[in-house]
Amino acid sequence: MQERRGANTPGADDPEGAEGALARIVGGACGGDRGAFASLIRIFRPEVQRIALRLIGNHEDAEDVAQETFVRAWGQLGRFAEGHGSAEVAAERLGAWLVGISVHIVRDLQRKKSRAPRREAAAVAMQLAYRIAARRSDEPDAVVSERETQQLLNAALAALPERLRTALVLRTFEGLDYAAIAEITGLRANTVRTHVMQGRRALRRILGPALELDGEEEIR
Amino acid sequence: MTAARLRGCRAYRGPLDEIFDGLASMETRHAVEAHAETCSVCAVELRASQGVRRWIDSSPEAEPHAEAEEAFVRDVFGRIDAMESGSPPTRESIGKRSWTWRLVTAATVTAATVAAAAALLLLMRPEKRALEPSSSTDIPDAISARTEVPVAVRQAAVEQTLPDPAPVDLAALEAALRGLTADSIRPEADLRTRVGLAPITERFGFDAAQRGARAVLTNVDRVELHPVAARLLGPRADLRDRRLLLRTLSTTGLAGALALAERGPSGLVCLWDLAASDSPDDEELRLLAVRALKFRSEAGEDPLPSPLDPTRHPAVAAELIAASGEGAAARLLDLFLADGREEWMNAWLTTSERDRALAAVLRGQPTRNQPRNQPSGQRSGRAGDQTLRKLLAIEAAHHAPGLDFVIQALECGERSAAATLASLPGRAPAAALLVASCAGHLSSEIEDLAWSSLATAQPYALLDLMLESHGAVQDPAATVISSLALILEACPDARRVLVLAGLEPELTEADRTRALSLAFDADADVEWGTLLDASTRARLRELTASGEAPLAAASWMACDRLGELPPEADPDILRALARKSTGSVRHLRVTRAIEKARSRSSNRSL
Repeated sequence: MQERRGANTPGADDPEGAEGALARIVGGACGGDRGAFASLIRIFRPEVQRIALRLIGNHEDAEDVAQETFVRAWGQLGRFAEGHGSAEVAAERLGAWLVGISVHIVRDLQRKKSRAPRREAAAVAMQLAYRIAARRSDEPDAVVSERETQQLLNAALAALPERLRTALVLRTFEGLDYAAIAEITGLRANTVRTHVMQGRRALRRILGPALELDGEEEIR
Repeated sequence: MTAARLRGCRAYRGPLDEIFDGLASMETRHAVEAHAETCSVCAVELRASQGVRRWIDSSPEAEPHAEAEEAFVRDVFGRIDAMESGSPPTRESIGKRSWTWRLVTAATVTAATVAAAAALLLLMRPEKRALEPSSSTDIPDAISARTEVPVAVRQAAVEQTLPDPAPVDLAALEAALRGLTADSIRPEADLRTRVGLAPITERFGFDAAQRGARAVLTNVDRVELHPVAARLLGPRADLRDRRLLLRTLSTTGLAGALALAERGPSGLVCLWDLAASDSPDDEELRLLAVRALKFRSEAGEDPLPSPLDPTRHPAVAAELIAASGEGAAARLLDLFLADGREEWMNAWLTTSERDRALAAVLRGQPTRNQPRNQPSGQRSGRAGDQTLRKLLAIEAAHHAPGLDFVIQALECGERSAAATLASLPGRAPAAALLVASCAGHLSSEIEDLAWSSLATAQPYALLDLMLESHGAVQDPAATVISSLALILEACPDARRVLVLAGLEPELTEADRTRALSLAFDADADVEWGTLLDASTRARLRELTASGEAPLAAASWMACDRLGELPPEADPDILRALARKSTGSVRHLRVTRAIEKARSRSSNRSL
C-alpha cells in the first residue's frame, strides 16, 4: 500500500528515510502528539477514502467513513502501538489497520441500509452494459466515456454482496495480497480467496454484455 | 507422463486470475496468450479477464476530493475533542447511528413477533376450529385453506377417509420378495419398467402389493427385505406416509428420488418440501432431494411443479438457478425478481461460467462458443464429453449424502476436508473426487492431498472405482487419465491392489484383465521388486501360461515389465491383443513388446 501514498509521505524522495520518518510520526501520534496524528491523517486519508469510495459508491459517505476511521483510530492508537512493540513495526502495519477500521465502518453503515439499492444497482449495471454492447454492435469504434465506465463499475460493485465487494476491491482494485486482506477483514486467507474468486465471477457476469465485443477485438 | 503435464489448463488458472487482478508480469501474460492460441477454453477465460481488466484500468481511479484537506483534519479533531470532553458530537457518529438503528430494529422485530404470535393463537382458538367443516371429506381443503400443508399430507388425509382395504397375505408376499434375484431389483429394472417386480404386482394386485411393501418396510425384523420392499413400493410411498417416504428414499437413493420427480407435480412437490426441510434428522435426505432436483434441472427438465410457489423456498430455488437449464432458470429468476428477494441474485452472480459450460457439456449441449447447428462429431472435445458423461453416471450411482458439502469445502481450498472425504465409506467419495478433478474445480495442491488421503485410507474403494471407470478411461481424456495416474502416483499400494485384483479368480476375466492393464500400463517409475512379493510374481508367471488369451496377454505384459518373462510365453497372444486393441498408446506399447519378444526369441534360437 505504501507505493500509493506518493507526495504526502514524509521523506518520499528517500525510501529508507521515509520509513524512519513514518515510524517517528507514528511514535509521536501514539504518544498523544496531535500534530503527528494530523500528519498521519494527511498521509493515509487518500488511501482510506479511496477504498471507502469503491466500497460505498458516493463521495459524501466515503468522507464520513474516512473521518469516523480517524476518530476511532485516535481512541485505539495506544492499544495498537502496544500490540506491535516498536514504532517501526506499528508504522508498517498502520495502513492495513486503518483500512480494516474503515471496512468495518462501511459494513456497519451498509447493514442499516435496505437491500433495495443492491437490486437497483444490478439493474442499472445490466442496463448500462447492454446499452454499451448495443452501441458498439452498431458502431464498433464507438468510444465509451470515462463517466460511463465509472458508472458501470460503480453499479457493478454496488450490486455485489458486501463480503465479495470488499474482497474484490482490496484485491483487484487495490492490489493487496490475500494475507493482508485476511488481516483487514478478519477472515481466513482461504475464505478471502474464495470471496475474491466469486467476486471476479460476479463482475464478469455483470460486465459480460459489454465485454463480449471488447474481448473479441483484443484477441483477434 | 508427469502429473504436472497432465494437469494441463489448471496450471493457467492462477495466471489468468493475476491478469484479471492486474498483477500479472509481462512474461506471465505472454505465456498465457501463447497457451490460449491452442486452447479454446483458456482463450475465452483470457478474453474475459483482459476485458474486465481493461474496464477497470480505463475507469478513472476513485480519487477523493482533496481540496479540503485542512478542513477534513479540523473536522476530525473537532469530533475527537467533542468525544473526549463528553459533550454531544457536532456531527453524528456513524457507529452511534448504527446502534440506534439496531435498537429500533430490535424493537420493531419484537413487536412483529408478538403480533404474529397473537395472530397464530387467534387462529388456533377452539371456537375458531369449531367453525371448520366437520365432514371428513372436507378435511383436506380445510387444511389447505388454513395452513398450506404439503400436498403429500393433504393426500394422506384424503386416503385416511377411504374404507379399509382387503387384508394382504404378508407371509406369501415376503416369500415372493425373498425369491427375487439381485438382477430384478436393480434400479433400472424395477423403478423404470418394474420388470422384476411385475409378477408380484400381478399376483397380489397393485394396491395390496403396495400395502404389503409398506408393512414390510415398517417391520424392523425384516430389514433384509427392506431394499426390495422399498423398490416395490417405489416413489408411491410419499403420498401416503412421510416416514415411509423417507425410508424409501434412504433405501433407493438418487434413483428413487429421480423416479419420484418423474411422477409429475405431486412427486416434485414432495421433493421441494423435503429439500426445504430444516430438520437435522432429514439432512441427508434433504441433500438427496436437492440433488434430484438439480439433476433434473441439469438434464434440461423442468424442476418446478406448477402448484408450488418456489419463492417460499428461496434457498432451494437459489441452488437450482445455478444448475438449471435456461428455461427453468429464467422462470425462477422472473419469480424472484417479482418477489424482490436476493438469493436469486447471489446464486446467479456467483455461478461460474466454467460450471455452466461443464453442465452444458454433461447435458450434451453445445456451449456458448459452439454453434448449435454444428455436427456433433466436429465439436471439440467430444471424446472428453463422453467420458465426463460416463463419470457423472458413475458418480450419480455412488452418491453419498453429505458428500456435496465435503467436495464444496475442497473446492474452497479447505485442507481438512481431504481427511473427511477419506473417512466416507464406499466408492462415493472417490467418484465425486474424480468428477471434481475432471471438472477442474480443485487446486492442484488440494487435489493431490485429497487423492493421497483417499488412496491411503481406502485403496480398495479406489480399486473398485478404477475398475468401474476403466471403460471411461479408454477415451483419451487427459483429465481422467490424469486423475487415475495421480491415484497411482499418490498410492503405490493402489497399484499392488490392482495386481492382486488381476490374480483374483472370483472377479470376471474382463475385470482381471483391466486391473492388470491399468496396473502395468502407466509410464510410472515403480519399484516392482519391493511392491510385489515373490509369491505374487510367481502367480503372475503361472497366469501367463494358463490363462485365456486376453488375460494371459495382460499378465504376459506384466511379467515383461517385471523382467520375468517366462520362456514359454507365446508372442502370438500379444499379436492377438494388438489386433483387438483400439487405443493408440496401448497399441504402440503392445507392438513394441511383440518386437521385443521376437528379438528375444531370435536371440534364443541363435
